[in-house]
Amino acid sequence: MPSLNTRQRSDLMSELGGLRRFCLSLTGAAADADDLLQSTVERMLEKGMPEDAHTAKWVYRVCKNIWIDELRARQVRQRHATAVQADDEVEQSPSAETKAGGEQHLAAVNDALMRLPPEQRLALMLVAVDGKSYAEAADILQVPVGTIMSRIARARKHLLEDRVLLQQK
Amino acid sequence: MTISEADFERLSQLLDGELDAASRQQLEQRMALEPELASAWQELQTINATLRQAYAGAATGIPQRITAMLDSAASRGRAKDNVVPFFRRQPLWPTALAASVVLALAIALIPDDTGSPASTPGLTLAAALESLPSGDTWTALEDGGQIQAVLTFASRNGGWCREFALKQTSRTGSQRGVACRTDGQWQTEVVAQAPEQESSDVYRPAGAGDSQAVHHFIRDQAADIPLSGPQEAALINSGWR
Repeated sequence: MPSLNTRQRSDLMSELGGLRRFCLSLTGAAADADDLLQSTVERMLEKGMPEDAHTAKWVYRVCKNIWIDELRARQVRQRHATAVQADDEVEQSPSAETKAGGEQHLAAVNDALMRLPPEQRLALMLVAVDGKSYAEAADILQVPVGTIMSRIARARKHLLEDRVLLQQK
Repeated sequence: MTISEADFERLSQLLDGELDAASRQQLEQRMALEPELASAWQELQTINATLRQAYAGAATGIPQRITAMLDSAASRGRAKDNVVPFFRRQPLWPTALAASVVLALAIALIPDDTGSPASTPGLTLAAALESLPSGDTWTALEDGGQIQAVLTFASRNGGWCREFALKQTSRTGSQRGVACRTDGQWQTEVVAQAPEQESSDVYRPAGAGDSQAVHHFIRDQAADIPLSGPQEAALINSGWR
């Protein structure tokens, strides 16, 4: 099944928006999000998917998996360490890319999200922003529904304690 | 915030429309009487609105290079023929890896949970996997090689696995592999030659054997994203339980 059929391609096309948002929530910077999105589309085109698979769930899963691969890279650990360091020194650390174009608001929200454990961030974004049900998110992340529920609640608790998202206009 | 964990979870479920009717009614009645619950509910709604607002624009502005990939795939009829652009931000997304041979290394890992060190001094591979935190530090092995724990993840069958990098005296470059802990023993699942250097100006064909095997193993076997540093430290301290 090394290619996508017409229906799958068109399904994939209509998922790109939500997928890009998802990528942004994972990477925290627009350029990285687009690279992750591109990698995801590339892998979909290279590997294809089973006829009977649900395109949206499949592609989110592929995206999550690529991101897992990404987490392997030590560079990310270093980046994270640098970001945490910068956070301590400066009040906010939006990258130059996100700061440009008046995206300060997004940058602040992103910063708050980046302080969440990744598994909580994944679950929260799928449900709260992408509007997926707990069952769909559970399917994508391959964990039980109850786990999704508690991860989202914990994510929100962190965000409440963080206060950043409450200070926005 | 002094509301209970369970109440907080219910509020969160309510926000997502995932609470059954009876519980919802009950929670709404309580909110009318309990200001703390009502105030948490307000704040949760604010957070949700802020999140949605912040990411509203992110669904648009998809780079043309990406939509073009799907367009051209469609026009050619077969995506397989599509020449996908090579990844420019190479170090970030290591999709292309050096072509080389998967090493058929059946490394006999010596279980170390008995606490008795192997007869030779230095760390066995198993002991290293059992005790080293993931990071950038190379640690000496008893056979003269060096190891670096790269990351830890839960496997689909409920155990723990670790990716590691290895420098062996008998080989040039380094190897990458994954070992999983089964019944208290570390078992190597896959080992492959690592890419020489992550340099973005050197062309490397994607999909060539080698450390793709490690990629694929992790992709197929990881139940979730890798553990964070503190999670991993807790796991090591608890003896992987």
